[in-house]
Amino acid sequence: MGEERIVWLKHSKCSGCNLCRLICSYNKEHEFNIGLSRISLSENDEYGFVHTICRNCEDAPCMDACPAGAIHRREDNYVVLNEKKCVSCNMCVMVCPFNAIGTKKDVNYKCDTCNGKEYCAQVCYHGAIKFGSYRKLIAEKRRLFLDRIEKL
Amino acid sequence: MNIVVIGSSAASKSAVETLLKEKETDINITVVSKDNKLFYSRVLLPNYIAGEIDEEGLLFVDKSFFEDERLKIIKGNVKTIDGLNKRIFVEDYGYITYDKLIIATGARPVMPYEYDVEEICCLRDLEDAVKIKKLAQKAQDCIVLGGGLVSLKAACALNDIGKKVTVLVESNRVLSRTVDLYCSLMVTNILREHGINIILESKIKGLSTEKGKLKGVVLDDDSLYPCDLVIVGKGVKPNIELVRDSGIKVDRGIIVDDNMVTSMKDVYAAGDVTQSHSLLDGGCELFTLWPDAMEQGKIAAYHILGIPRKYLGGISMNSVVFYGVPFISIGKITENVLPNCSVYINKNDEKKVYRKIVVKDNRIFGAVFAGDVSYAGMVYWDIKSGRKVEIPQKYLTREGLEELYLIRNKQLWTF
Repeated sequence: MGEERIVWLKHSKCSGCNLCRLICSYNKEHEFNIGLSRISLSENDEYGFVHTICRNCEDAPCMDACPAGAIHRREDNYVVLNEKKCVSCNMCVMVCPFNAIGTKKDVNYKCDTCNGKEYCAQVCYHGAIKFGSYRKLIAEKRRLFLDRIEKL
Repeated sequence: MNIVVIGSSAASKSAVETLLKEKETDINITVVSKDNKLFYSRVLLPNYIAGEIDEEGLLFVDKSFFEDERLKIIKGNVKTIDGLNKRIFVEDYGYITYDKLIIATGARPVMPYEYDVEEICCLRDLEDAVKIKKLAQKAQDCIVLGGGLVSLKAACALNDIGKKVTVLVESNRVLSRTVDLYCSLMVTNILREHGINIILESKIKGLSTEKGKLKGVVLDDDSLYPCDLVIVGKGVKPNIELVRDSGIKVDRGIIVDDNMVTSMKDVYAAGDVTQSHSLLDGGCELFTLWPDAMEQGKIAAYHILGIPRKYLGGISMNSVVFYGVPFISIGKITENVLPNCSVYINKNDEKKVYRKIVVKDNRIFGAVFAGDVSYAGMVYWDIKSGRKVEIPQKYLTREGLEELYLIRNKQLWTF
């Protein structure tokens, strides 16, 4: 887990197929239930799909808000929630701008990249979810941008 | 650089953590605290009383936090601050000199009653919680005075371990400073359903004691509520006695600017002890909130390190869950505190879902969520950033909030 990982979401490539949410809930909760997934998906006739995973804010407000010390930054720079310490006070929900923290009875949950296995990115065949180091993703973005300019 | 931090809770932790993150600079941090156990979470004390977590679970820092060589911890009571010679005096230890000083002494509970019996306590420190836990083993009837957050959480904790709990509230509703009237009623109903007896508008005359033992609580109409344990939750006040004679400017708390600097050079203050800039009305207010304390500690540390970052200002907010029903309130939520505002409410009694937003000059000033708290964070940042609101009704339903979220994310992340 040494390499720094960030998440890159590309809304324009999301087809709303819910595969990522199914695999997510199965891995984390051992049932296929998109309601328990760490990924949220909103849909609108005009704007299409927007899928959200925890964005790993650089100055994560949830980390400051948690009075139990349950949220911390892992070695690979990913912010994770320790469900053993969480008392479900919802302080993190109150300050998360992306609504990326879900609530169950007695415990809150958020994405932890399945301990670096990143199943959602593996099943997303459109490439709407990508994990990687910041540098690699920026390089890729730059390449895509150049491709687009060339086409014009 | 010698940095001395007084106190050992949220503000102190975030300041120390931020300072230690900076690896190059040579800094020595001394944390002076009178607590026996450092860096435990006061917010979780009701959970501790209810037996959900143990003493280890109260800690909100990792063990590795204490291992840093640059961090030194001294147990002791700080007596004076000498700003002229840049040193503090610690009882039974001596003088400690500083280059920068952060005061994070926090607040302590208000105790309006003076009685020489053991069975009356506040709930602020771990010592209080341990005492309550011990007393609760023998007690049957418990009385909680006050209808604030700490009182109600303590009442729930005692109820969970099978005690008969009565809450005596002076005003006409519970959580009168935190949530609005409708949510107060919701909370009252939930607590009553779970067996907690809530008595509103009860003026307390005093306690009845006999031979150093507690008998009960006497109300204004001379009715006696017999009990074995009284928990007083009448709010907190900042610990400013230390700085009173030092020349640092104080009002109700220590007054700080946007960099957490006090009126004295090289002295910072952070956390519950401060009276800081309020974002929504521009005044100077006391914010006894966990996230604010964390942010203030961080800002003070950033200023010491020379990183420019300003404190945006505090917003009164709170989040609480009573028996599975979540409540969140942010900002100014009633017409009393914000004249000429328009209030939008959506309530569903069947599903027990309630949403309210307070708008003035096309800007949201406050929001209340109950039952369903999804997207509360988005609204919090809208309040904080002063975002323009076009259709306030959209904030009242889950679908509307989802749509707002979707549109702004689609616009933000176009690539």
